[in-house]
Amino acid sequence: MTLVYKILDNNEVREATAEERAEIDSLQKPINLAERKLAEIRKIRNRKLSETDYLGVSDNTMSDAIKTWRQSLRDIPANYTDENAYDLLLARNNAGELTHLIWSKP
Amino acid sequence: MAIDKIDVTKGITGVLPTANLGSGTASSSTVLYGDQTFKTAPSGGLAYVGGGSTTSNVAAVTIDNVFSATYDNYLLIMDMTSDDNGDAILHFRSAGGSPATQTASNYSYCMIGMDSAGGSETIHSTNDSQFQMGHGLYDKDELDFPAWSGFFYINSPFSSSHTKTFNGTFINEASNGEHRSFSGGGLFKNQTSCGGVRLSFSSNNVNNCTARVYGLVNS
Repeated sequence: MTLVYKILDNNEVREATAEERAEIDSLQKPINLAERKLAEIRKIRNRKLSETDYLGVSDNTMSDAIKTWRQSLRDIPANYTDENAYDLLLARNNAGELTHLIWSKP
Repeated sequence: MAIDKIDVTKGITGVLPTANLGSGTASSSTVLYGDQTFKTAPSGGLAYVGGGSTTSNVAAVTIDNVFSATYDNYLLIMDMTSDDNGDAILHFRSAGGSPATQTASNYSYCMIGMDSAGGSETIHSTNDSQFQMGHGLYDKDELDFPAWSGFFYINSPFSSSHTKTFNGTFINEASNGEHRSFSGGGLFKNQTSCGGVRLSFSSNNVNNCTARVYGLVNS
């Protein structure tokens, strides 16, 4: 994408002045996409964990498979560390469902 | 000879006397209702004060000199689409002949929301240099659904003695397919009299935008 130095000023498009160009540049704050994706993954991870929190109540014995799965969810930030890995974790099918196997509860 | 019919398109010229139209007192503050009586005109409502619309890339949309002493409260209703990954941003602009974008750390806001996958979302800051209206608007280039759409009520923006407050709701779309809806509000913690707003994204261009500002008639 290329930043254009134009302003829609009270419904009239015009070229930005020198001062406005400087302002446009100063207000540009590109987001850290990898950071955003990791935050999204953490959000999904936390939701998955909370959905199985009830299995840890005192009158229930959590299965080893669930324990291992929950630990793997907790380890995601340590084990998946680049944007390509984040993209795989966030991949969805046409129905909007997450496709990475790590999200599947055993 | 009795006249029982008059062709009003030919037989009458000039302005009809208001007494012939209905009962009650006709004046600049009354209107004629269907029951043929003059009654006090309804008050309140929205008065359009300015806006902007673009379908081509611009770095920012500024709507200046729309806030004034005429109205205490304003409705800003808009939709925006970005051409890059970004967050939707609002800045206030000072009133007067040389409006300046207010970029000091005077924005305090908190908005809560949900995404369409059932997760919770938050946007908050106590001392931001801008009002971040939404996040996660990734590469939105489809025009059939704006990346951001919503409204805010803004209280006393023109005042030079009040902290400006705003509250509203909006929905945005993220590239992961989620829709995220937020409600909440915030403050502009400065007594500078503001005349308008600046709309932009955190990165690159506003690809498409329609914004309208209305004054809420004091009544």
